[in-house]
Amino acid sequence: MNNYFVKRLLYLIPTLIGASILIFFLYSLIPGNFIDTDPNLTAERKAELYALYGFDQPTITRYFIWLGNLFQGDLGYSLQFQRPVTEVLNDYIWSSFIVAFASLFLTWGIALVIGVISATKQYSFFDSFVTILVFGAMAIPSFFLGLIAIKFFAVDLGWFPAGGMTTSGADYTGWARIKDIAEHMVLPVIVLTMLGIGGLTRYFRTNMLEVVKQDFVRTARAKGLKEKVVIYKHALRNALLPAITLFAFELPALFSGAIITEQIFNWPGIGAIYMQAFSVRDYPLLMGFTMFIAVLTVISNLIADILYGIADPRVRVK
Amino acid sequence: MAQQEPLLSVHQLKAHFQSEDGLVKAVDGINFDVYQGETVCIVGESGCGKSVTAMSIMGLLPDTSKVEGEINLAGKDLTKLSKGNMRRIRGNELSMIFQEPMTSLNPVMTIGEQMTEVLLEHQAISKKQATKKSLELIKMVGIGRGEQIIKSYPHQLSGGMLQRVMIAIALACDPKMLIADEPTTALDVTIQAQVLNLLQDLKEETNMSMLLITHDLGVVAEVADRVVVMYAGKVVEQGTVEEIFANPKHPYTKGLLQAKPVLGSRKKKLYTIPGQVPKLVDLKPSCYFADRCEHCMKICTQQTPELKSDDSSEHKVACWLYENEVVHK
Repeated sequence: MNNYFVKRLLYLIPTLIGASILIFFLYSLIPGNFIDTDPNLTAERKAELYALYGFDQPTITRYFIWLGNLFQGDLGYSLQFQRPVTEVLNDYIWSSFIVAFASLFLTWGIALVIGVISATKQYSFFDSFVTILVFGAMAIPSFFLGLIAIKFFAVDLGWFPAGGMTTSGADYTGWARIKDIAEHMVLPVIVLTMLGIGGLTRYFRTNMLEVVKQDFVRTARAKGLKEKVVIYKHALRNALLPAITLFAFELPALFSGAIITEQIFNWPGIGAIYMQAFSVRDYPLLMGFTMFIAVLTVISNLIADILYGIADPRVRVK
Repeated sequence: MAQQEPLLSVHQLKAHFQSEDGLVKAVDGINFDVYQGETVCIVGESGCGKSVTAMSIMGLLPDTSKVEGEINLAGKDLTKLSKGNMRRIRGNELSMIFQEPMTSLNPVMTIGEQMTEVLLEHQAISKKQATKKSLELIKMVGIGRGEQIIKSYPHQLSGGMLQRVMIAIALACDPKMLIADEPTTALDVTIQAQVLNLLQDLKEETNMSMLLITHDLGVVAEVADRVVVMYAGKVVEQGTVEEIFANPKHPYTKGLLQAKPVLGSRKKKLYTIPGQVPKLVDLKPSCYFADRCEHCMKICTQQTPELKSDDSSEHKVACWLYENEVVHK
């Protein structure tokens, strides 16, 4: 197991180097950059800025400078914000994270419960009803769902604020501030949960249906175990195994922001920043952020494999 | 033996399923008894309702099926029990082992967990006692290194070992009745004999009854006291194992016996019964074996023969060939 772990860690290095090459060159080979965007600059000023930001160097040299900085934990310097990329990410990523985390928690919790119930009561009224509801929620685009939510819950009913992360002008501290942010979170979290819940519910339902057909579930029943034990102890554990992989992929998603939903609710998250960086060609920010997500993806894959080994004895003993 | 009350008495058992093509009468009004300490074999081809019979006795058929008739186990009609009461009987007084030992155990739970589980469910004992009992059971089914086995997972054991574990689980609560649904079919031949001998020994030791479902007549000859021959959801012949092997009456039973390979006899080609088991949907009143039978008469295609004996013995057959009055009218 230890040997295996070390081997897997070593595999990460070439994977990440490959990712860094792709990310850097794809962004660098796009014609134009942040400085070219401003038409008012004189040729001399442009040359000065080129030299200042290192755009006058050959691409290969720039790659190695960038890579060298990465190793020191420096993701680059954002041209748009005139601050290090790590600082910018740190400012915005956590607001995306809390929304993503809350919706991840809700999505998985609800999808698991609904999936298992509709599998154990296949073709029942509950099953069909939930299926329709879940497909409906999945089929509505986020911008529409977001606007509907704002119209009903924020404008008509006035239960929740329509957008932003804090009440503007208010200067809350401590619990009052947490409560304020939580209130602002409700609508975006609901929208994100509704979007994600459909696929996952169907996934759990299918997995569960597959497992309850297996021989060992019949054996469990033949032993005279209670139906609850049969479903939750024998069947569910087996049905959850393949979901580990899926769950690990959620880790990078926690930090990558929701571009459209954040836009609609005016949420100061990383998704909105990402879009903005595109429009002004702030490539260092984009490269740094993409690299950060790449690292998270690779790590979460590793975590998935390790978790699999813990959860499934057939994988563990090798 | 015939004087005492049967331990298990199946009376007019029917198990019907609604399929897209129509009503499937998988089991259609069968009767048989199993006495204390006796082994009864149900034989027949695939798809003739053997396993469905077993599953309906266990009460494990899906809710979509319709089970009718009486299943009396030690005086209780299992079909009339509530779900909870039936559950308390399952794995306790009445247990079952299955065809595929490799898939019949939960892959993510240790053998020990799966053994103690059934003990803890049905008996008022502590976890420690349950583990101790599990070790005894493992020893009883002839596996060494019990301490190691209870910590293993199913994928670490062979098919034969797993079937022994399944037997240990089934016998954990000293059942009065064991149903074994083709317990040796998935095992290789040498292991088959071992598992059968084990079952036979354990049966004699505990004086339980066994209902063995098989299509292997070699197995029947070895272990059965009495034989029930099923065809298309009905019993076509039943009797003691000697009667069935020495003096088979129904053309289907004769065919089955002829189709059995005999060691040492050199035949160019093994006998096969022509045709297949009919689809169990919308069968007309007739002998369902008629279209495969070489003795088929007019009446066979018009009326269903009844299971009866011509001389008040236990050897019964459902075939028009033995209904003298009717045929020769």
